[in-house]
Amino acid sequence: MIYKNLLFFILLLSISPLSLAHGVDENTAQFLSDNNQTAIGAFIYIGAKHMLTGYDHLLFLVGVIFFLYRIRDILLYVSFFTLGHSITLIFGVISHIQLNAYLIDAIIAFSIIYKGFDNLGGFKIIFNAQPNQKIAVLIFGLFHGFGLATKLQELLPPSESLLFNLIAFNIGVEIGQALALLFIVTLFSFWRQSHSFNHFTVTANTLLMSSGWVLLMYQLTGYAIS
Amino acid sequence: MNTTPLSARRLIFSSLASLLFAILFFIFAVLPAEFNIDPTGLGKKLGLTALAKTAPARAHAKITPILNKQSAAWQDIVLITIPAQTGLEYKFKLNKDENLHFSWQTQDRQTLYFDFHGDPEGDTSGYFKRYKEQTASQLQGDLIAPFTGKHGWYWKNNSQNAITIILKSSGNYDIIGLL
Repeated sequence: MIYKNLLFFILLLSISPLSLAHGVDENTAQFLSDNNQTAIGAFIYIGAKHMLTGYDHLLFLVGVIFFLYRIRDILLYVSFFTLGHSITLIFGVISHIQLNAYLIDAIIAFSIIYKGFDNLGGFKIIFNAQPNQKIAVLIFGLFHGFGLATKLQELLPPSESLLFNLIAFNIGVEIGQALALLFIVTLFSFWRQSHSFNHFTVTANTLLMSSGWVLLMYQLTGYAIS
Repeated sequence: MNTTPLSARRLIFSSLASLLFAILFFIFAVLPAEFNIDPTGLGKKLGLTALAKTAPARAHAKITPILNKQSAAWQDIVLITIPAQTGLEYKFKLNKDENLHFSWQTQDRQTLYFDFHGDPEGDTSGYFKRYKEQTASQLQGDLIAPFTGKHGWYWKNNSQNAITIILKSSGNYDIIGLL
């Protein structure tokens, strides 16, 4: 039973290969740069695909819902995350804010480390204080949104239908997030029923931090090389 | 919201362990596989560096400038090798109204997709002006730059073999080269 649950977690971590993180494959890129008109359906699909294959977003969500037992809490926290990344996605694209993709992805990686540390009770133990978790999710949501905005702008030519495409992309992101959460929350509700959950919370959050560190180093190396 | 009750000692141990594990994983696996950097030599033994080499990296694209002293017809001649299943861009910097006289063709007459376009200087919106988009094995002509910026081609090699292009050019430009 323990191994089975551990396997679930590993499965969760390995949803997609590293090279896909925040990437848009070449065919998609080709479509994006050729596209000058409204293409609502296509942009919804691209947004959803981006979220489902962007495991840095997914790992952060795993961290956020790790100790959330009630659906109401999950919806509340995810709403803060959605609010954060939607604001900066729309604002970032409309006002042409394009940050360095490696650095913004490094901050997203840092958000995973932060959440893992927070889940271990790190702030209470070391600083004897608990930063507001909802506000933290909102602030990191803002950074995740800048990441989305930067990536979308690299590919999107401005046109009259930009706003519609942007909103379609945003809707796609939320659909992808909802699908991912359905999957993650289902796995967690099974896992929590077994004793192994309590045994493995420390290991799992340590692994979460570890994944964040690897992604952080990956992005900073990419930045240094580029 | 619950968190795991943990002793300070265990927390510090877990945090350091997460970092140590990440550093080892990064040095032994990620650096060789993603960046072809192999400080320990283990990446090569495990065959990970091969991954970085087969990645559709621009590092694989090859350009060979050919000095052309015999003929004054062209200022620059360059051979551009595009690996299989890869796209790349080659650009010239032109000021507004300056002329680029050019001629390119693939070495073995293979056709490939290209997009001839220009990006205005200082533009961050991603805007570009397309001059011609086609699948062909050659193109000749003159471009009078409609604005100051980067002008050139995106080529996409969809075939299973590398394609080499011979690009000849003359005009009042600066070569930016591969992007």
